[in-house]
Amino acid sequence: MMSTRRAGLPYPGKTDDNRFNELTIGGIVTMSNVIEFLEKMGQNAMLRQASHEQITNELAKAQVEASLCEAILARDAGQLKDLMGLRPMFYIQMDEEDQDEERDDEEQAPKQVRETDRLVAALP
Amino acid sequence: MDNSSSGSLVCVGVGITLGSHISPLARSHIEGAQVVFTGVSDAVVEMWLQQMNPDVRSLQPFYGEGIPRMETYRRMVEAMLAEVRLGKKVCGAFYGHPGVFAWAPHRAIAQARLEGFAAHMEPGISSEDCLYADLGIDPGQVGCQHYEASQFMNYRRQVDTSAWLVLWQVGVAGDSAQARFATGPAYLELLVEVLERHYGPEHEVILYQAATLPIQVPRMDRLRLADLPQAATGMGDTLVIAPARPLDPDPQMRARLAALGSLQ
Repeated sequence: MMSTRRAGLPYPGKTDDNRFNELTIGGIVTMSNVIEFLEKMGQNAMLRQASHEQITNELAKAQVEASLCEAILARDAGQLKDLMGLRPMFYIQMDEEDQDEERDDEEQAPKQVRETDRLVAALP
Repeated sequence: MDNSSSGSLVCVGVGITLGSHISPLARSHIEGAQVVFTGVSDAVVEMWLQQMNPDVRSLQPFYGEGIPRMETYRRMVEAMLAEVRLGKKVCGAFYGHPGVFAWAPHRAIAQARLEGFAAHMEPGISSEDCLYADLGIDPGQVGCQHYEASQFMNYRRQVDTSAWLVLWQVGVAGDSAQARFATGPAYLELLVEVLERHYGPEHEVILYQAATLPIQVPRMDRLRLADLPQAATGMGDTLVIAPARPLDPDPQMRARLAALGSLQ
């Protein structure tokens, strides 16, 4: 597998400016093809419920590389991401301790919080 | 200082499933922004968003094992606001709904407004919305309580066992340091201990996770409450607990309501 991955980057398949590079497998540029196919599948009711054969045909039309096709047909998201050189992401975006921190903030800077609340309340 | 004519911030939700849930308005905000920051749950979704705008910056590098997540969230806010202060039209694109179980979007919008910038939020389809569809639950039927799992453990809540109970972020339940991305069986045993104040060990619970990619199916694993500690759980898992008893009628209130009705 030919990959654009370089040592020291934050994610596999990403460039220094934190953007994804195209990945080529067997000479086929495949990152954008896969993303476009998944977007189409996400938007298309018939494709979401299509048979194995129908999805195979759509993947061929989209020129998605064979190993990625296999992962998609097997509905194996883990394998698909492995082939694309993608790691699992962190995505917790709120913690219960926030409530305590909010209270601490109010105690330390009540005027600022009140001003924020006032502005929030005034806007749609 | 009035900065309202320069920088701006909008936080949008891109929904949960790639391609399926993003609203036309959210997409328009992403495509029209000068800078887009992404906070999503899946690297494939992040790649998809990167195709929508030439300047898409991931908030993912702010996370790290051992870094308190509050510090991560504050850095996310600061990263977005720094670009707003430079006079740019900034969009924060977050998975699901940007205002549900998400600290940074709310805080960034409040801070931007405080500094005189235009800032608002556009909703998205959340995991909660997917949960109702996938599990066939209508929260209007008998009611539905939602808590963050760690908060549920650390504070004594009044649980109504005649309604559904949904505990979010169960895979990191009890992580008081907020610096890990999975806890484990010992933490889940304590969660079960709390839940057994209200439910029997045989009570059925569901581990749920919505589908992020259109090739996936949602996780909907049914198990006994007592077996929860042995179940594999991660950041995206939610615990759904069915009602354990029927609704408790209030005959006095019913009589008073009937009396009111007879007067009209």
